[in-house]
Amino acid sequence: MTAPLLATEAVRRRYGSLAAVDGVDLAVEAGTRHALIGPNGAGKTTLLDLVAGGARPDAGRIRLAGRDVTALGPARRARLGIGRTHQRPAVWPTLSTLDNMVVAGWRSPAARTGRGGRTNRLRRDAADLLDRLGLTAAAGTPAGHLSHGQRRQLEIAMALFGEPRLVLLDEPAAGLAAPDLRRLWDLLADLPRTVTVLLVEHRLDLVYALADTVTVLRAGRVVDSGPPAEIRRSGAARLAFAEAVG
Amino acid sequence: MSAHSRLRITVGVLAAVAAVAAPWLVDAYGAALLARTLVLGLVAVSVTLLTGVAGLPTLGQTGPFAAAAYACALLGLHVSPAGSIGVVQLLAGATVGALFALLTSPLVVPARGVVLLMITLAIGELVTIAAGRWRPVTGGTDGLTVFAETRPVWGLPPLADDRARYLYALAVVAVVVGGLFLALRGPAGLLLRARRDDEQRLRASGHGAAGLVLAAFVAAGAIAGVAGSLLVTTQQYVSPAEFGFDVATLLLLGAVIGGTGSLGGAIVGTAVVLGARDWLSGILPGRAPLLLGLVFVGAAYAFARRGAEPGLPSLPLARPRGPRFARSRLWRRREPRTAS
Repeated sequence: MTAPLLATEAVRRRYGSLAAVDGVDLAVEAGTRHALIGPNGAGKTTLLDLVAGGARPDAGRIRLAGRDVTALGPARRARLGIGRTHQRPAVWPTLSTLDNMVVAGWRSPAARTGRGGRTNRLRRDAADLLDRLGLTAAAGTPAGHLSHGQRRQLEIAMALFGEPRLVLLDEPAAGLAAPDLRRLWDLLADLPRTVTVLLVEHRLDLVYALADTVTVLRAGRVVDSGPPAEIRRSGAARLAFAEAVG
Repeated sequence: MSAHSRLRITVGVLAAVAAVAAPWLVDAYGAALLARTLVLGLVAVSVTLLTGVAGLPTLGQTGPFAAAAYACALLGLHVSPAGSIGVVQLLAGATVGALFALLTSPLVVPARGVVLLMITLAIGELVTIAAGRWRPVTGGTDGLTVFAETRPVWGLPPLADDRARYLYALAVVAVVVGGLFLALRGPAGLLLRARRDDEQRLRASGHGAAGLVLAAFVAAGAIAGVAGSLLVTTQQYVSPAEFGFDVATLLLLGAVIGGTGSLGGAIVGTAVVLGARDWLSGILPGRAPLLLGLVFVGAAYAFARRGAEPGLPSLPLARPRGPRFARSRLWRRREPRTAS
């Protein structure tokens, strides 16, 4: 039996007295779309940070394709194939949209092969992806001048452009208008199965339509995990959200 | 070609013509002052590379500048007392400047922001103190005088007067700044600007920020080292007074006034600061440092206000563009009022 692409083993992370992630075991199989849902403060974004290397766990281990990556920094993990987006879109504001893509894709394996200079090759490939997201007209615009929705789309394009094995998407649909949401949906639905997706999202319709597996988090712990239909039937998600509100 | 590009090219050509013609418009002392301005302008370019392009504020570029200047002076005194070869001096200066940056890198590479500013300030000050105290090597506060004249390359006549030394400095500065400009137009410039904008995002895209920062410091050290070599050639004298805290602040001020991302702007900014200081010292004896301090406070205020947009111009020599600037209070005051 092959190891899951991503495995977290009893991962814990505390911020002062708050246990943001409290012993989470997660297994994300290669090629699947795995969604993390739960109320605000459930530890979803912290878990993504721990996987991406932006934060270090206080305890537990993180494995990528069986390899222990717990001690590796975010740059090394990115080079091993972890791409990510942030809750607040993180782009380089003084660089043009196209240059953001070039820098994001610079270390990808595909960037090192092929004909012509790396920059020109990346620019050509980036233009195709930007076209799919409707950002062609903004290619020369400094990313700091883009709207919130455009920045979010750009960051998703940047995360995917590096041809990651695993892409971590933190609320990709937040702040997107209907046409942009449609484009995002098409992009995610068309992603090849060579790319594994770990998705944090509050839009449950998107989650249930896209995910193969849904994990419900509450107060840093896994409440339930399974196929979307099962999670929807069990009401674990509803309960987690309701308890958080109540 | 846009009107803006045409204007930039016209201004660039006029500036180049003026820079070449300048030593014929002033006396020998003026030519020496212009050469000194070019030398300090080149150090300000290294400050701009770090502060404006890479977002690494520094007050320590006087360190590699001084180390290279003393190395080249010692080279001239002990190795080639009959006269140095400019190219050899330049290579020696660049190497010493880069090595200085490499040696101090464990202190500066992990630091960011104000901490980095303080560490680089301390390094610069320690170098000045060492230069003043290490009398057997540096000549102490008396400095080192290098009488022998420099030949640019083998076979050419020596640089015998201030005009020739200025033109030599101008040629070297043009080559270094041109080379750096071309380098920053490529991937290196993109990565450094990306680091300045958001280092965390850079790491998340697989780039090791430490290596990038180290490369920036070493390159800036080499440039400051070239300037150190030019100082010896143009001035034929080196002393700790050339590398003090006041010089470090002047360099940073020049880089800020010139628009912190602009290489040419750094030289122009340094020229403005030095010109203002020396001109003010003539008409207001003893009060020039005070006025310069006020200018620095004003520039620092504008620099701090611009924190959200690091590396972009904020002062009048390079007017900002784009809608985000139009919203900033600093520029809104200058916009004409329109009826709505």
